[in-house]
Amino acid sequence: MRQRLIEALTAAVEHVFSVLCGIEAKPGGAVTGQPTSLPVDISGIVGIEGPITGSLAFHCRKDLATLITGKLLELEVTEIDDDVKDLVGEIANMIAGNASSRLSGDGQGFQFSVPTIVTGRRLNVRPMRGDLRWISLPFQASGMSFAIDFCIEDGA
Amino acid sequence: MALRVLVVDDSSVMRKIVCRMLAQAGFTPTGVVEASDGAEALDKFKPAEIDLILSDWHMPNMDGLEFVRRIRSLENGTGRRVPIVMVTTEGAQAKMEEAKQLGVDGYVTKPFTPDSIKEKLTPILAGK
Repeated sequence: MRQRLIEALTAAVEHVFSVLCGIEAKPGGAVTGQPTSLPVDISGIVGIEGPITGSLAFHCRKDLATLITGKLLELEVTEIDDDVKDLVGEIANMIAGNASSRLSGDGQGFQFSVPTIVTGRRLNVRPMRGDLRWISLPFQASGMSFAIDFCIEDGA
Repeated sequence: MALRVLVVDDSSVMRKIVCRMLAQAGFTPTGVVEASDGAEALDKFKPAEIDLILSDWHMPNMDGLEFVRRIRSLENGTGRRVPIVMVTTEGAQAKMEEAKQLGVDGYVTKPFTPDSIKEKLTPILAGK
């Protein structure tokens, strides 16, 4: 199941970046057992319930978040404003939805929370509980690093 | 094609992206009305001034399904019926059968492109 999840998440990220942003997302190797070690400026986090219960987080730096937002709105975006926060949450949501479709055919049985956004400057992600299982997927897009963390509470 | 559209989404950036992609798909979104949830959209909805409603599914206060239910109820007996297209994430397609029972005309899956919007909207608007 873990390998299927990694494959579904990787394909979902590649799809969302390609279709929404017209940017190729190049996957690195998946890391299990811990969240990303990438220092991040903004994270979009979606809670997931269903055949797999947990959360998905899309973590990136300001430069990538503003690049994507500016590209989609055809504006120069240099700071993390409300549009950037909204878009990071939407991207997390789209990745979760797309991955769920790949895992269950039509995504039936999965439910997602409204995205939560966390911003800061070079934040470190740390687990708050010891009983969670982590899959962390590093990516590169337009020469910038980002990561997807999947935190599993049960079922996988 | 000129289009007066009501865009309902709790994400302001998605409302902007939807409007941009409508234009890139060859529609000219004139008279765009934006709302951040179903309740606000109901307040702003004027049937004679809207050609199409594009609505998100999950929103605070009043979600997309309840909004559709209320719109169709308002239209009941008036002879008017504004096409409603839901904007959903993948994984929500299974719920679209329930939505169609309530009077939704179709759905667009996020992430979308101008081409996928055009492909979905053209037959729906032609049948208006």
